[in-house]
Amino acid sequence: MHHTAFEAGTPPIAEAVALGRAVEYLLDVGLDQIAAHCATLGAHALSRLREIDRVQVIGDQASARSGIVSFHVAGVHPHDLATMLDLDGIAVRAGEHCCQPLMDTLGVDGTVRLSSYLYNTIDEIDAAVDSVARATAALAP
Amino acid sequence: MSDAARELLREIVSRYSVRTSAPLADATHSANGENPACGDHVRLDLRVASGTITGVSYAARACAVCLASCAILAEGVAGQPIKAALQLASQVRALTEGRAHTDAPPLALFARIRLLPSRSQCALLPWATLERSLET
Repeated sequence: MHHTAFEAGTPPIAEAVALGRAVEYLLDVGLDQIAAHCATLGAHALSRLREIDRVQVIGDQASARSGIVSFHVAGVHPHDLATMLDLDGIAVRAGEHCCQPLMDTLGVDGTVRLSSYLYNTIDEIDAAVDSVARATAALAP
Repeated sequence: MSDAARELLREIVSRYSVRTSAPLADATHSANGENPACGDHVRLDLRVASGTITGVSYAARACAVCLASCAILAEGVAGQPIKAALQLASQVRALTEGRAHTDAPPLALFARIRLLPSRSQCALLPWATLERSLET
């Protein structure tokens, strides 16, 4: 492997070390526990979002697949909704997500994606959904 | 600050929701504008006669901020000489970027967009599209 000994530049040493520590951290928490926590958050988000009339959840309606839920609010552009959430301190991704053909097929301008993970709580999901409800009431025609 | 920003967005959504204005059959200048990062798309058609914009039409697939900007543009440049329309575009850019200020509607909206800094490109897209259509 002599040819790899003289690469130009500095390899990402800090990143490699950090990746190792991140993997250790996740294994320490337990991948099964993380998956279960995310599924709980996702299922809660799904059930709470369904309480809002204009919300259309994208994808599997029956069960949460992870902590991630994408949705659209009828009559409200996803970026306008995301701005209202942002003003409540809630960070979401909104728009076409680099998949315009899918948005055309779904017949929407875009979606809002709530991505929860290991570090989120049920209370935070409730705060986010409450914010969606307020924004919908404020912006929907 | 957040309350003022929320109120601004609410006001924009309630006042401006037209995505497509009446089509222009005999357009002489057209351009498409796109913000790839957010997905806003604007199609602008103009009818220009003797250096004056005599007709404006737009079709937008965009957020409320961009729709509001389209509506203000259509009203603001109709009947204007090209030079005045381009000056208006410069003024809107200056207001949106904080280099100028006005409290007079409808342009005051562009000055207030600074409350929503991430949305300034949405407000500017129709005006950039106007500038490009007049270059052709």
